[in-house]
Amino acid sequence: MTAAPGALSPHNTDPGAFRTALRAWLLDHAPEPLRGTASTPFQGYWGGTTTGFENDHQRVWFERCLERGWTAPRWPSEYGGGDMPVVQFRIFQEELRAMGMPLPLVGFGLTMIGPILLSEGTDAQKARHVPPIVRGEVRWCQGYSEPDAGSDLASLRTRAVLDGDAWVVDGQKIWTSHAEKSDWIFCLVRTDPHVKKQAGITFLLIDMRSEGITTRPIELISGSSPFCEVFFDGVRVPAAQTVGTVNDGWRVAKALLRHERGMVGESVAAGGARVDVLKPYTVRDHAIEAIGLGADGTLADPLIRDAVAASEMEQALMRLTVRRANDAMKAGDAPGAESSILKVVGTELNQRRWKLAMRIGGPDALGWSGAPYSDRDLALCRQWLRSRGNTIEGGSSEIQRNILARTVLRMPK
Amino acid sequence: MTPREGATPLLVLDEDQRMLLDAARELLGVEAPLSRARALRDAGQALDHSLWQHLTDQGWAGVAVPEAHGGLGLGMVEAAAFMEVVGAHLAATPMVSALMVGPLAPRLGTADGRIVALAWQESARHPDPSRVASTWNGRTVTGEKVVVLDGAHADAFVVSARDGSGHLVLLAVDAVDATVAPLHRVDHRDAARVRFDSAPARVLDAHLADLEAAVDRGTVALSAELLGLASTSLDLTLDYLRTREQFGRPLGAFQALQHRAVDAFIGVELARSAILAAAFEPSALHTSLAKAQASIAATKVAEEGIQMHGGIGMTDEHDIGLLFKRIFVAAASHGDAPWHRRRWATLRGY
Repeated sequence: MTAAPGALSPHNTDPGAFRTALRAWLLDHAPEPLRGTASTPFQGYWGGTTTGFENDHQRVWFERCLERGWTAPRWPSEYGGGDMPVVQFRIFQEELRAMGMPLPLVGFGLTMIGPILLSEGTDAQKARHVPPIVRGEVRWCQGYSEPDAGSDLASLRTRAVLDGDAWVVDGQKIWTSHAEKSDWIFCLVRTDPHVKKQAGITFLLIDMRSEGITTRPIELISGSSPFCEVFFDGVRVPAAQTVGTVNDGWRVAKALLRHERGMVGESVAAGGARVDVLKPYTVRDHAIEAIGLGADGTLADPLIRDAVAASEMEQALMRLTVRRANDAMKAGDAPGAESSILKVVGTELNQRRWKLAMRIGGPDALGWSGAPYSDRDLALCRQWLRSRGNTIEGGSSEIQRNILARTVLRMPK
Repeated sequence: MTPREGATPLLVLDEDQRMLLDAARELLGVEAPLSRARALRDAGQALDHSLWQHLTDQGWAGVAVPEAHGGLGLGMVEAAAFMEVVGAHLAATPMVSALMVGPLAPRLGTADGRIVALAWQESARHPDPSRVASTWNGRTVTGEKVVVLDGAHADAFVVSARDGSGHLVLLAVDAVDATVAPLHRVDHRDAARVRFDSAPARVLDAHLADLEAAVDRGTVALSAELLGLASTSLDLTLDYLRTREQFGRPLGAFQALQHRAVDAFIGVELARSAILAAAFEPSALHTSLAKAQASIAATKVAEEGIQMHGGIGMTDEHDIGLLFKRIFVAAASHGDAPWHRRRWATLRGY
C-alpha cells in the first residue's frame, strides 16, 4: 500500500486518509523488534548527553520520526516539530498504541518544560532551548520539591538573589528525577521572602554543568534510585534564563503540575511493570501458578480468588475510565470530572495489586537477592516496594483529595 | 445504537441520545420529584402507574423493543442512560422487567405498557439463569420462583422451565394462572414470590442464551439505576456539607469529611465507566463489572450519606433514607458485588 503524496502532511484535512497513510508509513518505518514493546509513557529514548540509545532499533525509530518532526508532533515546525493538528495527533497516538510502538522520544523536556517555554518563553528562549529538546540533545529534570517543601510546595526556600545580570542561587532540591543524567534543570526559587509565599517565587532554567551544583542519588526502600538531591552553592544563573516575569513562577509551575499528575496516574495504570522479567505479569496467572486450580476449576484459595477478581476488576475500571476521558476529548467535550481521579485511582490500585502479588507469592516473594529466589519473584518484591512511593510522588493522595474536594466537589474552605 | 463495524465505539453519548435523555429528564423532573416517591410509599403504592403511562406514551416502555413490534428499536446505551434518570428520581417503574422481557418476547406487549415480569430466579443466593428445576410437560408448568421483580403487579410472566429431556424452555403464563405472594421488602417495591401449579403456558421461541442475555440486560439496568440513585444521594450529601455549619464552619470545610466525600465520588465515577462499557460493548464481563462496582459505590454513597447528614440522616423524614433502602435492595438483586466477583473469576478461568 503506498500513500498518496501529501497525505501525511499536517495540511491534510481528511482524517481517514491520514490514518491510512500513517499506517502504511508505520509498516515501512517502525522497526519490527520494537513493535508490541510499548508499556508506559516513560518508556523509550530519553535523549541528552549522558545516556545513549538502548539499541540500534531505538536509534533508527527516533531518527525516522525526527525527520518528519514527529519526535514532537504537536510543536511548531520552526522549532523542529511536526505542526500536527490535534485530530491528526490523536490518530498518531492511536496508531502507535495499536502497533505497541514506544514514543520515539520521552522525557520532561518534551512533556513539561517544552510546552511551558512554547507558551511562556521569550523568542530567544524558545530558539535556544526548544530545538535541542526536539532533537533529543538535551535532557531536562524538574527542581521543585525541597526537604521542607513537599506537599506544601509553595514554602520552598532555595534562594536566588540578583547580582548584576545574574541570579546567585543557594539551596537544595530533593526528589529530582534522574538529575544525575540531566543536562538542564527547571527550578522554582525564592526571590522575595517578604510577600505571601506563592507571590515570591521565580521560575529559572539552570545548566546542570554550572559551577556550584552537586547531585546525590537517593536510594529508595526498593533499592532503586530514580531520584536525586541537588545542591546549589552560589550558582550563577544568567537573568535571561528567567521564564515569565520575576516573582510569577508559581503560576508558571501550576500549569505544569496538572500535567505531571495526569501522567503519573496514567502511566501507572497503563499497568505495566517496567521490569522486563515481569513482562507479562498478571496476578491471575501468578495465582493460578502459585496456588493452583481445584477440581472445580476455581482457585484453591477462595479468599485469594476473590482478591484477584477484585484486582482485575479495578484495573478494568481504571482502563475504562482512561478510555472514557480520552473518548470525551475525541468527541469534543471538555475534560470531565473523570480525568481528575486518575492519579489517585491509578496509584492506589497499583499498590493493592503488588501487595496482592506478595500475598500470592507468600514466602517465595520475600527474597531480597540471590538463590533460591527466582528473578521473577525478586523483581516482584522490588516492584511492590517501589509502588509504596506511587501515592506520594507527583502529588500525594492526600493532596489530590484536597484538590478534588475543592475543585470538583466544590467543598468550602 | 450499533457501533460502526470494526471500530471501537466511543464511550460517549451522541447528540440524538443526549436529546432523548433531556426529554426524559424533563418528564421525570415534572412527574417524579423525590416527594412523589415518598407519597407513593406512604400510600402503600409500589408502582407509579401514572408515570408508567407517561413513559409508555413517550416510548420508553419499548425502548429496546424492535420498531416492528411498536418499540423505539434502540439499545442498551439509551436504556442504561434512561435507567440512570429513573434511579436519580427514585421512580417506581417496571422498567427493569420491560428491558428484560421486551427484546426477549416482543409480542407480549411490553411496548404498550403491559407489565410482563421475568420469572427466572429459583435460588435467592444463586442468581444463575441456568439453575432451573421448574418443569414443563408440554401443556403446563410447575415450579416456584423465589424473587420476581415487578411480580406483584405483573399482567403476565415469562417463565423458565425444563422440558422432559432437560432442555431449558421459556414460557408465557398469564398472571391469573399463577399464585403470586407479594414480598413487602425494605424498598417498598413490588417484587413477589410466584408459584406455578400446573399453570397453562405456551412456549416462546427463545432459549437459554436469550434468557441469559435478558438477565444481563436487567443486571445492567439495575446497575444504571444504582448509578442514578448514587448520584442523587451524593448530590444531597454534598449540598448538606456545603451548607450545614457546626463549630462556626461548614461541615465540608473539614478535611476528614472532604476526603471521604472524594472517595464516594470516585466510586461513582468508576461505576459510570463500567456501565458505559456494559451498554456500548455488552459482555458478561462488562455486566458483572458494572453491577459489582455500581453496588459497591452506591452502597458506600448511601451509608456515607446517612452518616454525614448526622441526626436528620437517620430519620424517616429525610429522603436519604429512602434512597438508602432502594440502593440496598437493588445492590442485592441480580447478584451482589461478591457474587459478581465470583462470576468474573469463573469467566476468566479461575
